Amino acid sequence: MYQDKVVSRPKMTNGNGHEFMLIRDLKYPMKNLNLTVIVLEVGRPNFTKDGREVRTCKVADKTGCVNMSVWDELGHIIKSGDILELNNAYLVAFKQCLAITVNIGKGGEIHKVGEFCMLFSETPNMSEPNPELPNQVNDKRKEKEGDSGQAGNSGGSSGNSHSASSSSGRVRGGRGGHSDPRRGRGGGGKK
Amino acid sequence: MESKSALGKLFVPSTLDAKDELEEKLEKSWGSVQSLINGLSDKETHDILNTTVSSSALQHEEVSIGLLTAALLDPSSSAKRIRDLLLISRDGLQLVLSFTNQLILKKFRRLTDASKQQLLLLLREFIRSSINATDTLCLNLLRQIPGGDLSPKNLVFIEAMLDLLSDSRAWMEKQPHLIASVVYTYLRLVEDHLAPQCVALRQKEVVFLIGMLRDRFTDCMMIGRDLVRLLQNVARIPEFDRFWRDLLHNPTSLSPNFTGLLQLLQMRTSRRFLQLRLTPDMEEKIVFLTSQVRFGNQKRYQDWFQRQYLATPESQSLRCDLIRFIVGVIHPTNELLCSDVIPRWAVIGWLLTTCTSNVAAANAKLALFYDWLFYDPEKDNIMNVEPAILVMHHSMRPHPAVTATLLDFLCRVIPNFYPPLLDKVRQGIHNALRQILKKGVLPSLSPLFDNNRLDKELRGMLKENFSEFCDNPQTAPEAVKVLDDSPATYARYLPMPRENNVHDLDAPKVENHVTEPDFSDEDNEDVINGKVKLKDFKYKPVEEVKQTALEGVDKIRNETLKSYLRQLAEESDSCVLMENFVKALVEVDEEMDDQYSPLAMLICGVLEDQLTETLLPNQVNEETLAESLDKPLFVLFRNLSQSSSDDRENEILLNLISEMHQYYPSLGYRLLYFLKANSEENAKDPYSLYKDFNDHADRELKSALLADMECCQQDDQGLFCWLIPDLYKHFASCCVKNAELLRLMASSVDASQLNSLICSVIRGDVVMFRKDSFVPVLKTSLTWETWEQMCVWQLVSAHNIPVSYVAPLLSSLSVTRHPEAMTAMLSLFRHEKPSTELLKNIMSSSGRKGLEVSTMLLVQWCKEYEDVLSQSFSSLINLHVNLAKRKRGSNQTQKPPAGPSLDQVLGHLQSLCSAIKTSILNSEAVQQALQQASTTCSDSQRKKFKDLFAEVKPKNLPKSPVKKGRTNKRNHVSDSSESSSEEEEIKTKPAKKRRTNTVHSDSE
Repeated sequence: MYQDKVVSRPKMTNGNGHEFMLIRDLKYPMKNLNLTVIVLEVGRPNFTKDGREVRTCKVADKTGCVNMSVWDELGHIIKSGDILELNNAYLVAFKQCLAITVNIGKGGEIHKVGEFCMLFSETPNMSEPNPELPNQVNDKRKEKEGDSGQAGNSGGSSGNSHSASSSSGRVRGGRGGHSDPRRGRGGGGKK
Repeated sequence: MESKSALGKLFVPSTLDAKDELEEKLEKSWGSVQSLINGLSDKETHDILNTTVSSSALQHEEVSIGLLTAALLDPSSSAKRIRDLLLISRDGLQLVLSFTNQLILKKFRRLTDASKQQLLLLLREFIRSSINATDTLCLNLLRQIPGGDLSPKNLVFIEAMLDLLSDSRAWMEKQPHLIASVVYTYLRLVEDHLAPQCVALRQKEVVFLIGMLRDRFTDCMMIGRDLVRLLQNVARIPEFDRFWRDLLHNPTSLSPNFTGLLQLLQMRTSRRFLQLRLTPDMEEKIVFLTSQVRFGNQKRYQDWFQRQYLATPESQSLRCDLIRFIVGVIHPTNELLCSDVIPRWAVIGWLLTTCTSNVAAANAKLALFYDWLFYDPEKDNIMNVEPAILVMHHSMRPHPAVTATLLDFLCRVIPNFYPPLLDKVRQGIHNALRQILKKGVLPSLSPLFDNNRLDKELRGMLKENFSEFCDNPQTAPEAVKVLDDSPATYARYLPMPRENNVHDLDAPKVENHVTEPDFSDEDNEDVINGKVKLKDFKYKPVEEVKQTALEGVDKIRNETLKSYLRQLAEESDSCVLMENFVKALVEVDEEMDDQYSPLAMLICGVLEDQLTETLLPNQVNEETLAESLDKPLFVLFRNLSQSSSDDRENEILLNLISEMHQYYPSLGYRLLYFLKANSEENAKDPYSLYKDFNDHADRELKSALLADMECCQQDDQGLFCWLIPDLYKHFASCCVKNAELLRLMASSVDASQLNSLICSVIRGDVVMFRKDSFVPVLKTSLTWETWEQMCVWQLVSAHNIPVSYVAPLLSSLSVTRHPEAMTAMLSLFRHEKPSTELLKNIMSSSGRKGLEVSTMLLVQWCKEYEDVLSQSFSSLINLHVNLAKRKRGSNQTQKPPAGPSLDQVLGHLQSLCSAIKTSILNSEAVQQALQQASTTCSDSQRKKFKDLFAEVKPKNLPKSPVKKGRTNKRNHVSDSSESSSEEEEIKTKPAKKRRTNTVHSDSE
């Protein structure tokens, strides 16, 4: 009597053809990530020095959960239970914690594709402190020094070479090797 | 770009929602129709549309959808566009209708108020033009009205829809199912509109409904008993009060073939109506919750649902709709029932316990039991009563108050539902309960009705109303029959197969309720007899059972056996007869393989009371135990135990007993009882027979033991506790690491039983843990109920073990989530003197969440052992300092020391100092270590622990290389000892890594 309720997955316009990643497989410092996640918690806002608002949200898929930094008004719209598709997301490390972030308007996109009806797992939490990640705040200055060289590098290796960057990408100690000009802002969000 | 802004009028603009295929299609079609007809006159428009449509099916679709979009978008031209649609459509608008339905089902929430009004206009036009299948469109729109929502938006839509329906009565009257659906919907909505702000709307609704109910009652009757339920909720509105009077006292005035209230109440409501009161969105979520989400993971989903639909006071009435939907529509398949998906009763429990209004809570209970009141095994479905009985059963332990209010309600509803039908209600509820036993939803109801967790008054009331089900488990009149068709041991925990499942939701079946007038005098007599019958009922079954059991006696070929069985049926407590039977059985010299199963069934039938009675005497001593074994059942066991394993008798009896076990799972623990009660002091292996039995029956010992003990715990808790110590002694390999068994024990013991267990642990009679079993078992226990965890920890501490056995558990603890384990750990560690090794262990195993846990331990120690702590801290810090220096010298990357990192050590020290006033920082050793550390550590560390470094006394600050060297030397001794222990540690290394690994595998 009623129409079938087949939920068709919306086609994303972002045509760079990336496969969808699973949270469990995230490794710093990946970028150009496409993920489908469900929002578990939306954190309180923090404000950066330049007045931008950022919230740390906990998002998950069936393989694990990770923190996501959400900027400005998007943080008011996103609710827990929303199922989001992230395009062109990238990973940042802040205080040795992994977080995912999307730069809206600079190639990054967040779309709500549903709510509620998605299974998830809260373990492993990829944002638990990991001493192998660079400690962002204190290493800012060092990064800036290395920025020019490194930025070119990482830009070149973006694209399909996740595996390459992840195997060599484990950063030890304070030598933040891979840096992204956007990362400083992303990092400022976490308290 | 233009089209995008135009569609903005159709949908509420959103920066987040993804544009999907549906929207793209709307946009594209609309665009192409626009470009076709822009600036043309009506006639030209008509011509060009007609030619385009006839060119191809694709064009037809595009134009149709384009026109539909235009009609929804622009009120000024929509009449024109609808007319165009009617004119050009080649398929009687079926394509447009199905597209509109899709739009409603998927996008309704995002439509603007204006486009919703346009949709109603469209519906009106379709009705006027008598388009086929417009009723579906109408129903889909009705479903979009959420119950319990008094927002102005919703009220406006409700009223607009009502106006439309009032104007379309002639159309509706051609479709009886539509009338019933509309009445069901609005009758439910009036209940919400009792609120004062809705007077005008309510009055309109009342007039409409009373008109429908009085003129078209025959059509409304197809709703069934839920029509009465809804009428009950609005009975205080004067018009409905008058209607009620006619319903009760003058039924034929409503419809010539309506015989009275009972007729309606005996009709199960079709799932179609129950589904109608959930929006497609709610339905999708409830279906997802009950078919996908694993039990234990539901919390967040429930919170989300609650936040979205059940947060306001007026939305509480929605709970009834949800409960009726779950009870009547969500009927899981057997496969789903066996899976770990959240069961329906748990969802119902959530809906009941989170209700914030008393009226809604009472209505919710009524909704839950509504199919019980007039339950008829022939017409009703066991799945409609299953959730209520299971929610009572499963809440008894964790939330006895929930079970109590439900049982209380069940007792009170009998006389209060409608006094003239008191006996019918009683009969209906009794029918439901009997069906529950018959289908094996629960093996027995006495644990529910006669449970000392319930207060005296309630138990009295239950005894009065349900004496048939209270007394003892053997009252299940047809138990043997049920076991007959489902011999598997787990059958009794699972409901029987269902004919329906959730997937046939969309079937447009209208159940054809044949209305049989059965409210006659004859019927009334039956009611009176019903009482008498109930009284006999209790005593009849035993004989009946034996008769039915003996029905299969002809399958037995051997005449001697047959005659013994007949005699046993007469005298089921005669041990001599059983002895003779066993002798005869052993002497049979024909092929017996196919005879064991019927034999076992017959014996089970004959010995039924011995297979269900409680075993353990009130006073346990040798005499009473021996006496309790003086039963035919135990004659079987005794003969078995006395035969030697290569005997023919042994083989035969094992065959028979294994078969019997299929029919009565309780046989397993009865054998354990026999072995314990019968065994002599210091017997070498008193339980070897149990092992033989399981070998023979192909049961894996560990799981068999668990299954038997589970069964025992359900039937007889006292016996369970009596058996446990022996099991740990004689089946150590099965029991010691068995968390499930431990939980079974922890969940069932009472204080005195726990105490006696602890005593036997202290005496050394029982060992429940081994060194390597503590951590895994305790880790599992973290999710158990508080009482269960407390029991486990009591038992752990009774074992008097070194804390290092349990220390690794710290890494899994969080103060907020595991308060029980935390408390226990703190008291365990209190008596321990801290050592460097222990601290290493503690600090390195704790992540961020563990920091607060380990800090608590440190705080505790700091009071007594401050000097030990300061020594340990300084040596741990020095370890890193020296390493850093060596590293600097050799320029080689060295392995970081095993154990805590410098960050972890300093972090702990810092949080210790901020948690308690301590002079630990002033001790010389720590001062020196910190000073050393401040010179070698990184900037980030220096910043992170600046509070600590600030405590370093200024007199030590001036750094001269000479001094440094000296301190280095001074530390040399302790340093070398550290590095040797450090190498040891490396072998057992990364605690951290291992931890993440386990987490990984858990999630998979």
